Amino acid sequence: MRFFTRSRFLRWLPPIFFGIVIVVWESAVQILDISKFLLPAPSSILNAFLDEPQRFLFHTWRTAYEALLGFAIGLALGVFLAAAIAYVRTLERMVMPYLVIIQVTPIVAIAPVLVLWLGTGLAPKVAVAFLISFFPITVSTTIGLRSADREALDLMKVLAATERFVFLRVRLPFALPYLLSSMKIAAPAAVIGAIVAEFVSSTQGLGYVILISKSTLRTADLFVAIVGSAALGITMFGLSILAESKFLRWHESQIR
Amino acid sequence: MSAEPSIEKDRRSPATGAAVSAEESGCVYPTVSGASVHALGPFTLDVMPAEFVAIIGPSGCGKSTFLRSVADLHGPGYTRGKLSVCGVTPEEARRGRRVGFMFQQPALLPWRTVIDNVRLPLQVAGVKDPPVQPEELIELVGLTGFEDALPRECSGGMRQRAAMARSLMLTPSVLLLDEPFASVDEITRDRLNLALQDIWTATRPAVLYVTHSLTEAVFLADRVVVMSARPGRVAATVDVPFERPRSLDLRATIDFLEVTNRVRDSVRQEAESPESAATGGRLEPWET
Repeated sequence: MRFFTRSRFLRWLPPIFFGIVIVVWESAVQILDISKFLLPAPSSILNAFLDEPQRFLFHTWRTAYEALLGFAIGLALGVFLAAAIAYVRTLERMVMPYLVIIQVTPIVAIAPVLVLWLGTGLAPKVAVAFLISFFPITVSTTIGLRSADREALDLMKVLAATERFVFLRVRLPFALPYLLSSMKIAAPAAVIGAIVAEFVSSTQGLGYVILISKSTLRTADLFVAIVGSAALGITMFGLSILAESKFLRWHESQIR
Repeated sequence: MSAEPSIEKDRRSPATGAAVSAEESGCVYPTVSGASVHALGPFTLDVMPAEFVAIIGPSGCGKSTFLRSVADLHGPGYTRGKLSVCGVTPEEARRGRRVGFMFQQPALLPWRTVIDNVRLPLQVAGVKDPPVQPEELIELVGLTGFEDALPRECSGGMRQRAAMARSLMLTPSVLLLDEPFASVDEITRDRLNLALQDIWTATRPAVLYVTHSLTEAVFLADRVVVMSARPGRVAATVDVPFERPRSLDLRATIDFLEVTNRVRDSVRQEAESPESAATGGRLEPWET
């Protein structure tokens, strides 16, 4: 029996490659004697984290909380607005330009205004996270609600189904693949939104850690915060994938 | 009711008590470019309760349009002339859930299992204690054992059978079938036609069956209606006298071929002279 089968090799390839990157990074920093202010070695990043783990976990949780809250509101309002737009076409013409403007304006440009309006607490972070995740969810869900199977809708008409039934049991499930795939974009984006808002003004969160570490030249701390934000984004993305595989078992995209 | 010269005399008149009664009915709908397309009619046809009528005609002649009119699936203002279903307007019949419709595509909800798809009409109508159980219909269409399969796990023929069971769930008085087996292979189609005959014998709805297949039409129907090219009118009606239940072997008999040939001749005549069965010089009564 062969131990190193091809599939086994492919499964272990990503972690092996990751290990190689870390080893190269570590030895490059040691051998080339790179300044720890420029690029700390993986070991010093790990040490920086282990020095005060509660501090980093606290700030990471804070950012996660802001992002999740903003994303949840974006999801709820996005689906609601998409439903409204899907049913009232004139609403699309009224609302869509503003949605596009909010989306194309760099979020870093909008964040200071929101801080000015909402103060320096939780509210502006949640607001920015909301703004950034709201658009993709609204647009995709609108398309999804409109792309319900024509004949399924005809069938519902023949059955004299109520509009409520059609929406909840036919349109919404048909929109689910669109909604869930937009979540894969919106959920990690909410983390970006929260951190951007923290950059403007904050005393907590990963954005705050990044700012402080940079100005005090604690580059290892900075890297811990970067790893933390990446981990948050990956977690949010992973949750969306999880939701997809849970709610979309019936869909073509889930056939393996 | 005065029969139009081109229409064979309908022995089943008068229309009172008809399951579907179309009197100089038709359909005109606007296109995207702003023009209006005269898709159907004037079209006169009565279908009696428990009668099986097959409609055959060239592509685009308005067969599906007619079924959709009967099911009230067009927007308001599309349907012209008189059309009644179970003695009331198509809309009232639809709201009373007296019409079953089977589409060319199975139109199953992909997230529901076969049995949940078949149950859907009960759920929509809020029927707690149905006259026929979903399990019975599933058995009738031969899907026993696949109740919990998702549509994507089923073959095309199985999906269409599930759709057939679903269209019968509320025991409709009028069953409309729009080329339901067009996309399944011939052997499956034979089996489904036999199943359809059994179901029709058991539940006796009035059936309007649109098809492109002469054999299928003659095998299943009490009466085959041949339609003219668009705008579709009744070009000919051929009665099918065979006893029921009919077996697939019937299709090899001389009698069967004789009836099929009569239908084929009507269809061919229609194809060769598109004007032959047309208005006879009359304008549509509902067009100015």
